[in-house]
This record gives sequence, structure tokens and C-alpha cells, in this order.
Amino acid sequence: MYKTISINISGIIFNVNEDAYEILKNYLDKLHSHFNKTDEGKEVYADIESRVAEIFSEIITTNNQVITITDVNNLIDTLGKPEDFFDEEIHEEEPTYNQKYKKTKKKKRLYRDTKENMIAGVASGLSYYFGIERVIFRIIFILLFAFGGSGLWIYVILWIAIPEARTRSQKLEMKGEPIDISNIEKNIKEEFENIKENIKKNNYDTTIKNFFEKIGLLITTIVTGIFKAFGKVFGFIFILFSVAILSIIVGSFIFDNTLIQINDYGITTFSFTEVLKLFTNNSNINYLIFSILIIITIPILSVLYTGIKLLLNIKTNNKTIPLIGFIIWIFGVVIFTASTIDIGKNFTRGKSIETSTTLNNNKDIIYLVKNFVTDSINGKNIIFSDDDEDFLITKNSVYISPNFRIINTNSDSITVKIKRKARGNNKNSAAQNIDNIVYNWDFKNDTLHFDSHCFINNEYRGQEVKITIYKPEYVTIMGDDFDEFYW
Amino acid sequence: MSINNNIESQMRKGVLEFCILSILGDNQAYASDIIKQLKDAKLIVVEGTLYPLLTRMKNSGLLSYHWEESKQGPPRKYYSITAKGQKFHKQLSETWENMVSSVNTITNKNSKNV
Repeated sequence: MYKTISINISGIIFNVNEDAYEILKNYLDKLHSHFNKTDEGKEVYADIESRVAEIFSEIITTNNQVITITDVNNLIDTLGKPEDFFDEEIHEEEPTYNQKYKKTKKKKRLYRDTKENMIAGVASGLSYYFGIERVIFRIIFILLFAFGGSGLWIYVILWIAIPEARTRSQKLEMKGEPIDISNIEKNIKEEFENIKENIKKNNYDTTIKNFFEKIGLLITTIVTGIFKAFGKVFGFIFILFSVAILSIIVGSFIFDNTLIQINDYGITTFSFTEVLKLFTNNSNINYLIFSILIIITIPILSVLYTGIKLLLNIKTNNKTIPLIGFIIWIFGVVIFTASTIDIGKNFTRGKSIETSTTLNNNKDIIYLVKNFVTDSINGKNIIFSDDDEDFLITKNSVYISPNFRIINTNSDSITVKIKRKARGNNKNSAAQNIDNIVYNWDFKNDTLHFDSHCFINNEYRGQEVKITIYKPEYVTIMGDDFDEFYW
Repeated sequence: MSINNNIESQMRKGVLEFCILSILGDNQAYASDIIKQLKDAKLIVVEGTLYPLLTRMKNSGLLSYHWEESKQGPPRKYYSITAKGQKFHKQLSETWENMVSSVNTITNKNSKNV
């Protein structure tokens, strides 16, 4: 038993076996897409279809109602394979070089011009493609290289992606009609025509597909069509996006002052490396930076690669480069994991030390005053007046703000407990990190002075400072800066 | 594509047009008839190549066609030769005869040397 599909060729209905249908459809689609480009071609295609209908009509008898795979194969043998048709066409075009030139003029391709090259002929090839002086592309590359180094990436990717113009016809293709706005518009229009055509074709399809399948097909046709039509636009956006991100990332690793921290006391800038160094003092920080660069840049480079392919309509089926990229990326992930485990070791052991001080006090009211810490940035003394910031990084050091609370007790004396916490790769280093926390406070007359921030050197190891004041209920603590009893 | 292939196909192409005009002569014929004769004479192998040629000849005014209903299958295109086509055919016949005799003279003369 076979499932048959009923099709309409030149107004005549035929029942075709499913397997035969696939072959026939594939065959006719190929011919259609080849001939449909010109009016003459359309006529030829109509003639061929009507010939197909005729040949099938001869097969159908009262005993044999169905077109089989053998019939379709016989048909293709009689009419000829698509290659046979196309070969003839090529012969047509070949006689003179002038005609050939005319033909290739329509389709312009991007090649590297290795005859008028500086490095690999990328700029020269681009200049033919866009019809712009090649000097301009060279300047763009040099400028992009100077700012963030992305020019180098783009150049190398283009070098890989664009084939070299080797043969005479490739050289002619390279120099064809310049790509300008009107041509792009023409391209987009053609793509929309194709969408319309495809939609129409789907409607003609009398195969017994269910409704949803048809809708799905329609949507994919429209979406892929739109993507094709706007491929160049997307390509352009992809390139802009990836170049911008690459410049920022590569720049922030290579150059200083790319990360910016803005607070009330001013603007400080750092390099990415400086921030990373807060978490580790190991020499393997370079591995970490290297691996982060790989992990971030490779996906962006692939976006750039795709963008360039879309914009310049390069058709390469190069699987090696994506594969190599993927392997390097995995390599980066492995190094990154190893390095972060190493950094994580700095945080394995925690320790806390609490100091308790009982104040020598006989007053019912005592005052709290916040001592604003100063730090010198770029030669200027800056006072940390903002107590909202929990974590402040300056050129020289890191400051954290302490946690602060007041608790009533039954005891008759005031006790200040300061708990300092830190982590390290062992108990000793954790203790060492606690020792490195600099926090000052004192009690003079009836006033408590607390620093607004504690200084934790240049290494962040989860340091924390918690201040708790235990006081009798009858003692009031007052302070302008302590509306709420929290820092 | 090899040069041999190219020359051969160029030669066949010109001859094909001449043959189509000859087949049509004073009659009219439908595409499959023309194809059948060309196939029998082993001038073409597959049918497909002929359709573009017929259309091109029609578009350049050498041929014209009209539709005729068929008992079986879709309506058929019957081609006939136009006045322009006739003139061109005559011209081609002369060229062909001249060429055949010239080529024969040369090849006969030289084949003795081989």
C-alpha cells in the first residue's frame, strides 16, 4: 500500500506516490528557480511543465492511475537533469568575454585583491566591492587598530572569510557593479518577490497537509525571507555591535582607566586587571585575564564573522574555523575554571576575632560622632562623606563600611564589641587578613568616635566589621549622623 | 569546462537552429514532434535543452505558435515558421551548403595525407 499525493500540473490532476512526489518536486523546484529569473525563462518553464503533464497523461490508463517513482525517473531521463539544462545555458554565455563580463556584472562578489595588496588585499577587495577608494579602508583599519585593537580582529577575520580572486572570472566578479543603496534595495525587493512566490507555491500545494503544518510553513517562509532581505542590515548591526564590544573589552584589559567608579566623592578609574587583583595575589592572574578574554571575545568574534558574511554576501561553508574557535573557547573555559578555583582557595577558611571593651562611663547621655576617613586620590585628599557605599575602591586601597547596631541590656555598663571577619586559604592567612583590617574608634569624655569606613589593604578576602554597642536602658545615645542606628 | 566541449556545443547549437527551421519547413509542428525528429537523428539527447531554444527563436521572431486543444493532456503549442524565419532558413541553407563543401574539400584533401 502506498500513500499518494494529488498534484496539479498545467491544470491536470495527477496522483503521485509519495516517494515519487518528493523527487518530482525537487526536480521541478530546481528548474523553476533556475528559469524563473527572466520572462523568457518563465515561458520555458511553463512549456516544460506542460510537457511533464503530457508525458504523465500518456502513462495514465484505466488500469494504472498512479505515477510511480519509475515514471518520474523516466521523465527526468527524457527531459534531462537540471545540470543538462544549465550547462547549455553556460555555453550560451561563454562565447565572448564581453558577454561574460556583462553577466558577472550583475552579481558582484567580494574577493581579496592580491595584486594591489598591502597585506592580504582585504582593503583593496573591499574598495572594489563598495566602489570606494581603497585608501579609505586602509585608514579605517588603522584607526580601528589604534583604538582598542579591533581593526586587527576584523582584518584577520576578513582575511579568513574572503576568498582570493584567483581566476580571471573571479577578478571580473570582484570588479563588477558597485554595491550601492539602489542595488541593496533591488536585492531586498527580489527577496520579497521570492517570499511572495514561495507563499503562492505553498498555497498551490494540494498535498494533504494539515492546516497547522501549512501555517508553520508559511511562517518559516516569511521569516527566512525577511531575514534574507534584511540580512545586510542585520550584518551591519552585528558588525557595529561586535566591534564596539570588542573595543571596550580589549581596551579595558590592555589600557588603564577603563573601568569607572563614580560616587559622591568623585570619579575613579581602574583597569580590569587592578580590580581582579583585589581577589588574588597569585601570579596566575595572567591566566585568568587570558581566559576571560578568550571566553568573551570568541562569541563576539563569531558574531562579527556572521555579520561580515551577511553584509558582504560571502558564501563559505568553512567548518574548520568555527570548530577551531569552539576548541579555543573550551580551552578558555578550562583555564578560567582552574584559575577561579585557585582564587576560590583564597576564600576557603573563615575566621573571626571579637574584641570587647567596657567603657568607663557615668553619664546618662553619650554622643556618637562619625569620623570620616580620608584617602588621597591623584594627590587630593578625599573624604568619604557618603555612608551608603559598602565597598569603596580607590587607587591605593579598598574601604568597606562597618555594620553597626545598638542593643539594650540589663547590665549597668556600656560595652563596645567589635567583630572582625576575614577569609583566607588557611587559618593563618585568615587571621593575617583580620590583622590587616584597620579600624579606629575611641571614647573620650562622653563621646564615641567611630570611623566611617575601615581600610582593608589591597586585597579583598571577605572582610567584615560588625560593631555592637550594649547599653543599659536608661542611657541615651545621641548623634547627628545616627538617625537610625545603622551605618 | 573543456574547450572541446565548448566548440562541440557551439557547433551543435547553430546546427540545431538550422534543423528546427528545416523540420518546420512549410508545416507546423508541436514541440514534441520536433523533439522526436531531433532525437531520432541523435542531435539531442534530452528534451529539456530544446525548450529554451524554441522560446528564444520565437522571441527573436523566427517562429510563431498557436495553441491547440489536445484530447489527452494539456493544450499544445504548435510552432510554425515566420516570414523572417523563412528568410533566415534560406540564408542558413546556403551557408550550410557552402560550409559543408568547403569543409569536405579540406578534410578530404588532408585525410589523404594522414
